[in-house]
Amino acid sequence: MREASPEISRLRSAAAENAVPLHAQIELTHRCNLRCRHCYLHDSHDARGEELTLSELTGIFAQLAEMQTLFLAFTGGEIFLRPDAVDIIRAARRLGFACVLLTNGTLIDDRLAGRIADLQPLQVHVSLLGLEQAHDAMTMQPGSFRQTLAAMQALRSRGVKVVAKLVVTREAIADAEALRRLAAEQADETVFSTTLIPTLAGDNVGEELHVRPEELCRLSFDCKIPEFSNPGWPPEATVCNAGRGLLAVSPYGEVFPCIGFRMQLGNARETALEEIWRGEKLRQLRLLRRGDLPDCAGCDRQEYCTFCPGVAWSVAGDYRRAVPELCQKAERLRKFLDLKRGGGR
Amino acid sequence: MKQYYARSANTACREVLGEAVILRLPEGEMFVLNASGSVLWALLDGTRTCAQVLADFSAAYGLNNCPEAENFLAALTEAGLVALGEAKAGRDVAQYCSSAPAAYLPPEIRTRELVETLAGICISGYTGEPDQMCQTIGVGCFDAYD
Ligand code: SF4
Ligand code: SF4
Repeated sequence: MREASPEISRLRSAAAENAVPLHAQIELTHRCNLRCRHCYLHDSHDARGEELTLSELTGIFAQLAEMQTLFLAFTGGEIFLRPDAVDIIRAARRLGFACVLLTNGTLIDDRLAGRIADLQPLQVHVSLLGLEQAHDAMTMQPGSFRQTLAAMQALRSRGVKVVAKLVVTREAIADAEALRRLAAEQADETVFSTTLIPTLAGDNVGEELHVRPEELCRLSFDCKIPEFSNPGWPPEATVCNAGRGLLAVSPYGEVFPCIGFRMQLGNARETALEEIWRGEKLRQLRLLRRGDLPDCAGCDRQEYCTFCPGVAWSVAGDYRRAVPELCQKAERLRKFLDLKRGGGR
Repeated sequence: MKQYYARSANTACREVLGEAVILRLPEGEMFVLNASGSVLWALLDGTRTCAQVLADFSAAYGLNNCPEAENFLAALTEAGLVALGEAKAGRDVAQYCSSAPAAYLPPEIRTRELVETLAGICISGYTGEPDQMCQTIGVGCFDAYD
């Protein structure tokens, strides 16, 4: 994977420093035709109320455009379960947004692929959870792997950039090498991850699904884990982009700092987004620095820790706390890197 | 037949912190225009002919004409960011992509200086790697190991 260009990095940093929501995540629905076992919505696929309509979403897009948002990520649930998904994305494109679509691909036939291509999305992201057997076992939907691959081909044949996210759990780790080769052929970009986040209800997604460091070490390709993203732990460093350069809107209009950080800031149906964005909760969050995390001072795993305030929030109800999910992740990473450095395989 | 200048349909654009940021799709290649470049970009809303774009731009800076702007327009067209068409189009995008020219007029109008920078640094192409955005716009921080 390439490094972000200096220009986009500069733009992102400038946006975050000036509290400009350059990126927004729009959850179009929580409904899904699959039941992926690792999904953070695994326990929340039922509709909780009326989803934002096309006209409500168009109003939200206009507000985001005023707030200088350029990138919109449409996610679900499965976005194409909404019959008006294409109209929604078209409304966003008309307002100049660069749109990234996150989909499982299973509903994309040739016709829909053509309509998606006409929208000129920046990228379409699909998740592959293993080779056929493991993938279908994770989605709990026989045939889903083949449908997803067919969608990738239909999109790419029309010039759409497809990013394959290889989300690998312990059950699919044996497929990792072959899956990576397949993705190299079938996608324009590949992202490999073993990170699983807790569900909306705050439950850790089955410890048994997490890949063990020893297993990761056995992979022949180079897993350059976070030396890349974690330049130490300076106390004055900010924690992440959530609520600084990023905001999220749920299918019901709830506004969050990030889809992985469900601290409700307000509802776009009732309050102008700008007002929510300038509100006290986010003002406080923007002041947060690594040195303010009360449990983390002196921790010897800091250099391995990609602290996520969203996980802390969903598990402990306080985004500053070190919760076991975060510490375990840091520990797995430390062990992985120790093994790697020691040549352990 | 009159030809109107408009931003191409295969662009995404926004004025961010005073600069017009343009992505050419689907490659995701990114262009950032400086203040005067952004003024010109704002005029490409599909309602002006080439001559009108150049006249309005020059007028915004109190000039009689501006050959640099003409070159810049040609560069934008060559980069595929601008399309010529017969019909007016693009109005809905225009208002968010870049401010109206007046917003950019500097208090003391040092026009020559401003405009002279046009050809040189207005348009800077970057091979954008929007894939990395999955770290913030996918499912939060998506660890990229590869
Ligand atoms: S491992 Fe736990 S205690 Fe240490 S820095 Fe990370 S979250 Fe804090
Ligand atoms: S660290 Fe967590 S809250 Fe912050 S952007 Fe990443 S997923 Fe969202």
